[in-house]
Amino acid sequence: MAKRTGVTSSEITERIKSAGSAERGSYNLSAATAEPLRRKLRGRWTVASHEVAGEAYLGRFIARSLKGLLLRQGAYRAEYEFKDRLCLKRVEISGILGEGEESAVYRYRLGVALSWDLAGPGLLSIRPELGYQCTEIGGDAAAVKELDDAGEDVLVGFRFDGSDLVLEEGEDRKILERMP
Amino acid sequence: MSGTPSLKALGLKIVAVANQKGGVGKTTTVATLASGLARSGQKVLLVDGDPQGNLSLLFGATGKHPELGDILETLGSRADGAGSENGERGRRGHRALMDACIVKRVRRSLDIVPLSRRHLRTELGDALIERAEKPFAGVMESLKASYDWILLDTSPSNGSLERVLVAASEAVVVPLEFQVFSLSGLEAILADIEECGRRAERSIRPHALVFTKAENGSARVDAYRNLFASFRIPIFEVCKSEYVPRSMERGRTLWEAAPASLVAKDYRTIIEKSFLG
Repeated sequence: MAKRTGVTSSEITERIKSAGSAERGSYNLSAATAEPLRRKLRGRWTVASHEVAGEAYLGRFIARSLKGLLLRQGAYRAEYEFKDRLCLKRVEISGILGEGEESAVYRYRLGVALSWDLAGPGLLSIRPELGYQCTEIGGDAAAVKELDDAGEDVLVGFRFDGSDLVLEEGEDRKILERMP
Repeated sequence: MSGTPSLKALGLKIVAVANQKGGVGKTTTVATLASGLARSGQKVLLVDGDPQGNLSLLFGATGKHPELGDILETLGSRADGAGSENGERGRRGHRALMDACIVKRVRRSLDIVPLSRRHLRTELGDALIERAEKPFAGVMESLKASYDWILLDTSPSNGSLERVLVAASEAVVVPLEFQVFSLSGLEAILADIEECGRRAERSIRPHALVFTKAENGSARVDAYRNLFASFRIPIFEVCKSEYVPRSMERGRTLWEAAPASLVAKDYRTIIEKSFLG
């Protein structure tokens, strides 16, 4: 962008940012832009890569939720199914917990219905509406929790990288591949 | 999904559509918003504040009829003395004058105060127009009881006439284009709105930015999108469409010419989110 008066676009932008009301603004893309994007998002996507601050999500899950217990043959599967304004997210983490006679099959499942919309250029507004998470150890349900409407929208960055969909929320980065 | 409160939720009814830059779609925007609100059952008064009179032309409200120029001339002249027109009697007189300017039912639920005096600025002069500022704002305020919405069109300038119109409003919608001059232009209009509010001794809300003629697939437009996305003023895009000039050329609103078009959908989003909430 041109710089003729010694004042850059970013300086003007910074000044304008402070204008307006105190609440967060909103960005409404034109229907001509938004509808093709919504169409492109619709469908089933599987998570091919999920990292948090550069670390594989499964490792972080084991460290945080399993308090560092050994999980052998650990597997992580996650899927997003984008429908019209609704997205079904399913996550499953499984493996063998512990060693020897103490070992048991571990299975964690999360299912959540999210309402979603485009919130601006490269931005999705997502709100968990309802869902559940369930942990099974040795085939028995160890913990079941219902998830309610969180009451707040979460802004998630998105972009298409070739045929992949990249979702970014802070340090959390997922690369999704379209499912057949 | 969450967003900023609508004008209705904020109790704001008088809305100017302003930008000193020309060709950004002010008249199209104000005509489409006003007629769209009227179609959804709201009672709307449109005030043509652009001496080019395109809005009056669109709604067939030109001819031998008292108009905005006449009321500004009268208000400015009367305010010339020692405030003899102040008080209840003066206010009633101003209101009666304004009522005589209103062309009723140019569309269902839509009235208009026309303007067709192309040389209004030179005929009246800045000093007289400026003297009309406070009484005109008073007249607009008195009309709030009769209308759900009062929308004021302005001309591409930042002279006394535009200041009178913005100072009479409670909120401003700014149409823009995705281009380099929009940023500096936006900064100027925001400063003008603030200054008008200071003079009127009340807050005038820059309520929404409307990016008209938005196009897809352009890296340049995407760069602007990312730049503007950080603003706290809500932003609405309206796509570029041939339906807009075509409908205006035929003297029809977008709702009459192409109600199912994407551009109509974009304006409907503004009405639903920004006005009615």
